[in-house]
Amino acid sequence: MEKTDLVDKKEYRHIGKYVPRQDARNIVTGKCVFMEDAKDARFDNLLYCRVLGSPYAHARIKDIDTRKAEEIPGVELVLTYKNLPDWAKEYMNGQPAIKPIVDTRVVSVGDAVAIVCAETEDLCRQAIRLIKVEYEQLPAVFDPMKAMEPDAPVIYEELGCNKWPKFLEFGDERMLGSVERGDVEKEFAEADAIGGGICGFETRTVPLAPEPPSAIMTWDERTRTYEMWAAAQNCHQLQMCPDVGGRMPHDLVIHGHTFNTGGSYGQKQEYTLHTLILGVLSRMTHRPVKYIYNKEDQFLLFEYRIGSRMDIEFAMKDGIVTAVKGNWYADSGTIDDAGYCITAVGLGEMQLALSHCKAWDVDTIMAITNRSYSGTVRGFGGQELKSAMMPLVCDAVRKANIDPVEFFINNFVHDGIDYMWRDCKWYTCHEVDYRQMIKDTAEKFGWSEKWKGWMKPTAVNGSKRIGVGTSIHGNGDVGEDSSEALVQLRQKGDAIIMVDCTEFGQGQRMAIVKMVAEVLNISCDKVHVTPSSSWDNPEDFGLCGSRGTLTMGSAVTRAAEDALRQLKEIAAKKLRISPEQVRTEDGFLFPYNKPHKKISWEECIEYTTDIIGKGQWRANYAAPNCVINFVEVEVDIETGEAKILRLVSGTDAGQIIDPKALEMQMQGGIGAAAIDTGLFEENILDEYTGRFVTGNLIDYKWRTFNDFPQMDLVINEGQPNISRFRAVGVGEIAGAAGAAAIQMAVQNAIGVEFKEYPATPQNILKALGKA
Amino acid sequence: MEIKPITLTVNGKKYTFMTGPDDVEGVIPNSEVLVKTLRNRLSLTGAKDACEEGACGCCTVIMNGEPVTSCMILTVDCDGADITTIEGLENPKTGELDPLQQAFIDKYAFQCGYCTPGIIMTARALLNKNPHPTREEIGEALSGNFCRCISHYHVFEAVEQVANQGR
Repeated sequence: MEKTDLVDKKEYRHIGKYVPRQDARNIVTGKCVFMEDAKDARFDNLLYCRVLGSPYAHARIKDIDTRKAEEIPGVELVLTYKNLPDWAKEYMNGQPAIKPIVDTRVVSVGDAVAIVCAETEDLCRQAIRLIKVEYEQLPAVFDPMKAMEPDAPVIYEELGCNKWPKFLEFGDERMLGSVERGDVEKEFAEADAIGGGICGFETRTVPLAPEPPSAIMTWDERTRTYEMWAAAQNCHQLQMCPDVGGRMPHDLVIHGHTFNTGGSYGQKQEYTLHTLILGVLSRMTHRPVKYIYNKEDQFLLFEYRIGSRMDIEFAMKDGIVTAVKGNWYADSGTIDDAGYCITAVGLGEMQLALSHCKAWDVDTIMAITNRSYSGTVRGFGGQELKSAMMPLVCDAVRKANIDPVEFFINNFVHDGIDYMWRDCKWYTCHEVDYRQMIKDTAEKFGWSEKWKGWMKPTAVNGSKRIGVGTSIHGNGDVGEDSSEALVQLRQKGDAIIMVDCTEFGQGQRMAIVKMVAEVLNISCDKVHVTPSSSWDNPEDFGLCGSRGTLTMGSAVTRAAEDALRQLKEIAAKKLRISPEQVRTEDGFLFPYNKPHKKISWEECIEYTTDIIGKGQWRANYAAPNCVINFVEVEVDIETGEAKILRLVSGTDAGQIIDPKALEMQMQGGIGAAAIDTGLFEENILDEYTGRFVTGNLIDYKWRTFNDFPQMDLVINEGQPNISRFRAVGVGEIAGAAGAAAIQMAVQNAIGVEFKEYPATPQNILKALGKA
Repeated sequence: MEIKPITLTVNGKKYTFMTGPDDVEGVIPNSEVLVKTLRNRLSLTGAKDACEEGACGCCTVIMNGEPVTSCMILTVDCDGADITTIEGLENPKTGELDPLQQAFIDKYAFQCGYCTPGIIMTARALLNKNPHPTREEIGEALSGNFCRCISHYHVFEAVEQVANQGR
């Protein structure tokens, strides 16, 4: 195959250069509108709601008395299993749908016992205090393996056990539930190293967006349509409850609107609980209803990353993983909002990491426990995969005495290699090859000098041991799902992009402005993007899985190209040349060799008309991205304290769209429950009460400004021929493998096996036999 | 409990409010915190009401020269206070940005931007007192500001750009 990454890097007018975002001034002056800042006449007559959550992890409600709460003036409705209308019983959480919004059973602490809807939030709180509930407490289970034992308390009686049936459909895709092919036993018999065991990544870490999750919904009975405003990461996904898994009647339509969103990290993707609750309340009250989480709600009720535990063995031959067998257990908590889709992506990513392996027997099993509920979180399947898998596969790599960097170079996917992606279809990796990037990043880190071998510290200074570690991740979802866009050219030489693109940190709205401005050869100031709304824009899956650069970017680029083609055809007639000979610059068109014979867009676009171009992207999973993390950690073996001394992350992002934005996306791998989940982030669950003891912003540990280590980046710019601007998104995966890199570094520092997350003093001292 | 007037100076403008018990209509309740007053009564929504426990710094404003988390301060206790919010940094006549705001644009020192007003106000308060802080002093000053996107490295660059001016 002819390699195209040797194509010379082009010089662009906007692409590759820092151009301040169009919302930059509003952000630094406090005028940027987030959900809570928005004013809209449609929010008049607003009701608020709060949930009375269960104090028990598992219980049956024997009786509930809401009369006193209902007597408070201003309380509109107190909803319980007793007065839930029949139609509202079709509003169910779960994949598959299983749980009404209020029920006689409660399956986790915080699970809705009653929902109060009132004129103010304070009235809701006041009313909640007056509700009397009689519970029958039931035994709870928090460990996924114990949950699947025959005598475990069954959480959903209708399932008969605490294991989700494999519900494997998403949109028009059938999701990958297992990987089974090749002669596994033969490969194990012929292996020169075998390793593996059990490893878990189950610390319930929280992405914790600074802006509280909140939403407002209204209901139109006549059209059976909801309108929804949410602090969400996109609008299309707000339609997911009716669309996927039968969680709401399929015919319902939810028109979504977003504003600037104050961080998401995957977690604000679906808004399932808000949609179900507000869907019922707004339909019952015929008024707009708002549900805003406080920080404790955000810890308790928002979607968690699934717990991940692997019991898997790996066979190696000549430095290559040749066979994999075992089970991948996921802990959904009470619900998994994304079902087996998360592990389906993870299974695809496993094949990218072990791309030469021909023999597979890996199954996924998702357990139900009484720990809150799970769903979409940044690193979707990837962080769960790499954190649990990397220590196990590296057990085999260590036994084979192979340097992990060499292992990654020889095993990670590159062009020409086939794999089965999440949709059960085969893809051949094309146009991307990260081997040089891995070498460049290792060199920047100084890996060859610092790596002293497995279980060996890089340096020892009294009780302080320095260790180094590395891990790698890649995801085919950079091309996932569909994007559609329109680009409108107007007389005055400007353009409007109609696309459903919410800004929540990546700078994606500016990235598409730059792409369209580049195609049209106009200033970025002349390109505008419509507000994010599913009502006003073509369909788009939204920003997730690092897909925006390739998918949305391609859709807007093609739309701009289509519009420009039409414009050039008109200009060609006026200039009496062929459309191919027409050039455009800053709102004027001219023959390619006669710039002085220019005519304006205004002369080509009739008064009160415009030109509209259309662009599309269709799912393609054949060009995965890749990020490698290197970390140097210092461990005090007396106190067990570990700290990061230095981080180096590397990627090949193809053509850089914006250097500063990309830099921050890479640095973002530290936060939002990514790299630091290897070091200190954890949400501690009291298994006696089922409550999170660190479920607030003060007790949950997060990295503060005065504690940031040196971080260096290696960003290569191969030019894969996958889109006009040859760019690959990488934001989501920046830190997905980071926790595993820390685990390896700590293990090397302390010189004994260490497979725990996070690397707290307690876990390190335990590994050292001191606790 | 009595109904009493309080006067606040916010971004150079004086406001007088009546405050009183929570069950009295038409006054600022004694339980109302400053961030609610700024956002709901003065429409100054740059300060964000995010954690309600003084943990995230998104509601930071400068009060009498000090950066404070306005979700932890009762408005009734602010009588006579001089308050600057993020909206008060730019020149109201010319629209010229505070050099720190401009530095945040120049260095692209935000991602989602939700925590940015709080970060800018904390850094502004630091620079007002200490025009040339070290990197360590900047880190310490901002240690109560939560940013989950990780814009920290760029924020350091932006604050240092201003701190290095006139050195």
